[in-house]
Amino acid sequence: MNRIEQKFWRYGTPLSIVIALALASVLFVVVGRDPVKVYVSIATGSIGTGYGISETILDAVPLLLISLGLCIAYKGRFWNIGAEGQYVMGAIAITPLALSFQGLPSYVSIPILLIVSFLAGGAYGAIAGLLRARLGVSEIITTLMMNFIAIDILSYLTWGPLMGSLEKAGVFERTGQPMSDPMPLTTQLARILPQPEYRVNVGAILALALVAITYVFVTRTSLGYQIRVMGSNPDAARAAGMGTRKITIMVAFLSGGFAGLAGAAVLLGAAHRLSEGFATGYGYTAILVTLLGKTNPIGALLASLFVSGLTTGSNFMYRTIGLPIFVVDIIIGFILLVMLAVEAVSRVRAR
Amino acid sequence: MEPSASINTRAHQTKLRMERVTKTFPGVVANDEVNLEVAEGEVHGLLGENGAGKSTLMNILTGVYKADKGRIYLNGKLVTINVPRDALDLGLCMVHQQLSLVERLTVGDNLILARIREAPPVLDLKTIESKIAQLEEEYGLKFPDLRTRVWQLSMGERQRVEIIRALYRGAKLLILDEPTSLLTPVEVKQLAASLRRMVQQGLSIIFITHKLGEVMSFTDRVTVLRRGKAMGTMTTSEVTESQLVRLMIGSEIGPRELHRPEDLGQGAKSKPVLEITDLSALDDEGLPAVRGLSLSTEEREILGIAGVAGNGQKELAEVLVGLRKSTGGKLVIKGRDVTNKSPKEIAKMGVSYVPEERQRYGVARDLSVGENLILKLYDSKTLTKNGFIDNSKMRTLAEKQIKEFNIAAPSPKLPVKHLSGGNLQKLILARELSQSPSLLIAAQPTGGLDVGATDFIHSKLVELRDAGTSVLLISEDLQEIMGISDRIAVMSEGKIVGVFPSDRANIEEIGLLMAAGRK
Repeated sequence: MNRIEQKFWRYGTPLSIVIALALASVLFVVVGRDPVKVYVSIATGSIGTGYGISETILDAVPLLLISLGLCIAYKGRFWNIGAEGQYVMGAIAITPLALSFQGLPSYVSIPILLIVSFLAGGAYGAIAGLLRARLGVSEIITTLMMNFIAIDILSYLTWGPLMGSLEKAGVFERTGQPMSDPMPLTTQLARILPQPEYRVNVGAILALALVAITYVFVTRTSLGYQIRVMGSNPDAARAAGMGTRKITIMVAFLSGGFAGLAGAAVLLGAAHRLSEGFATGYGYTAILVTLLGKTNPIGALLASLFVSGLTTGSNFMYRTIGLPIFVVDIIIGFILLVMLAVEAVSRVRAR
Repeated sequence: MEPSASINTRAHQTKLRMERVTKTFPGVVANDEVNLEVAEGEVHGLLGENGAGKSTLMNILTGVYKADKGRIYLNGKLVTINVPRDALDLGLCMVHQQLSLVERLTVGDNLILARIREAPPVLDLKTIESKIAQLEEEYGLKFPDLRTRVWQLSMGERQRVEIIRALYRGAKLLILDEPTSLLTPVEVKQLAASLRRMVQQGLSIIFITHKLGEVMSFTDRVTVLRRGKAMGTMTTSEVTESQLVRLMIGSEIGPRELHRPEDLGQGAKSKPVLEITDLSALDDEGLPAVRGLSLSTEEREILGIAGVAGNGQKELAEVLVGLRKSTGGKLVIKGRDVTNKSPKEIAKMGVSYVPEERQRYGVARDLSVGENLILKLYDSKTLTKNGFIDNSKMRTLAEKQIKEFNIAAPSPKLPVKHLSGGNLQKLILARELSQSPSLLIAAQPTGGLDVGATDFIHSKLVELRDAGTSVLLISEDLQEIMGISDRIAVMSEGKIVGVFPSDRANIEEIGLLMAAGRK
């Protein structure tokens, strides 16, 4: 590879984004919209106002947390696509616990809840890890299938044991969804800013700290090293005497744990009630975020902000110029396709 | 050059003539002015060790490689073969060791695919059925049902499909690369019979092999290659196996005088390190590769295992380090039974391993040179503290080994995927030799290295041996084995067929054992 190509690689992702935005512009022109206006509107909605920025960060937290776990998993070539289910499991596990924590001080209850959510999501992920390590079952299939199981369990619980007292009495909120009673105030994550409309909370600080921790974990620790060796060449890892089964289960547990933690961050930080519709697709979007960030924790930070900015901005765009918010999915789809194309081209060039 | 008039059967005219074919790859002359003549209606053996240039020559003939120099005549006419398509159009078909059928398609679909340019727009098995029946009749090849999917067939059946496919394509000259390696003894006999029928119908066959027995039983004439050069063509019925061995591996080599330990043989009785009893194991295809092998090594000795590739050496090494499960027998290292223990447990006993498949078992390609050099130290006390890897220690260690083993890496941070094959090998050797193992399993340790690096590795192995390590050296390079081993064991068909102290080893005897697998 010559120097130009190396440079190109370093800026490959931003470049892919620019190309993808240009491609999406063509689409906007076809449907009779001015692409500049569309992008300006998205940008205004996401980073143009204090509220926009706050919402962008709030929305980025679960994406980032899940994505950090996926960085570890994908580095070890464990293709976890079950973060959605692990996220749900994290939230389910802490709901009855939090409801029973009435009156306990925050500094006791919140750490416990965060740890439990991590363990619950991790345990749920570890099942797939165990199946893969012991029986060689593809984790792609098990993790995906377990998403549906988790969501059905969520459905059962919100219609049954965890259903809130109001809903039990037949009073539903506008969404018509069953949901749990609200989390006690002491278990809710504190907001960072005093203004009531800024919902960004300490979950963002936690996520930021975990970026650093994950980065150090992957690059500097012995276990992180073994995960990278296994991801690059499982045969060599085995030949070197590494316990690849144990590592696989560990990786599955860790990545599930991060997803479970994300469930807690959303439940305690923004939703405050566990509803039947609690799973909104963070687990899947985080896969895109992870790929966009090239399985690097810092890349995940940037990518999660970018993607959540697009989502937040698209709400604003819908209200101002009336283009449906699904535009964002199209843009993200384009970005991934262009990234794949760029990678394919450079791989051919490298031969 | 006219074919010798004394061909015992069917003295036909020349079918193929390759003249002064030369092909150079970076660092090695794979074919050096090679001449080859194949007559019509004969099975012509192409005999040589691995790396003698057999495959290269055939790849040139079939258009996979382009020769630097040389001409190819077919039926007396000069032909140019630039791409595989050209060879196929001329009726030159090769059946490779790694069969090239589409496993998920049916046998019939695979055949249609072979002549897809003339296939009707809607594929119909009927169009080929009669043609296949005729080929079966003509050559006496029993053929599986056209509707069977290829993955359901045995290896022997798949090979037959490939041969039929070649004939269906209109092959005039069939090249078979080590065709018996996948077959059971019964299938080998069937193959021999079919090949006879084929040449009686006027087909010519080039039969690539490194097994002497097969040359004797399959071929009419044989051409021997050694280190890229053709050593001559002979009528099979007029040569002996030992003449062929001499041509194949040369007789000029003798043991090199390479620092033997003075007290060898006398001194205190050495302790056994590795004790293998009646060990057996399967290869990747599930066929027996190691068949009741017994062997033991001692402290302070290099035991060389000589053998032609594919006689179970690779599988043996993998069983010894725990990467492959054994199906029988016992494995004891330093007095402890480690039969079917995990690679981790075996590595912990001080066993180092230089794998034959470097890319597969030796390195993690996405990681840096430094990170690959510490592959086995991931939890050692010297390098890690509280679960963290000490980066500065890793760097110091890596820089030292890069320098000592002369690895062409500007920095330990270079990703391993940018290293050449030889440097990769040096990296693996640096890592495995630097751990002062009590047992070192070294498979083809100097493959791909230049002369200087090879000498360096040899002296390193001797140094380790002198420090007390028991070295099991598995190599196809007989010169290497003779040069540094204290004892030589010959391996053939998954067994040890002879063990010699190296000062009493006779190259011809070893060569014969290697090739024939019997005394």
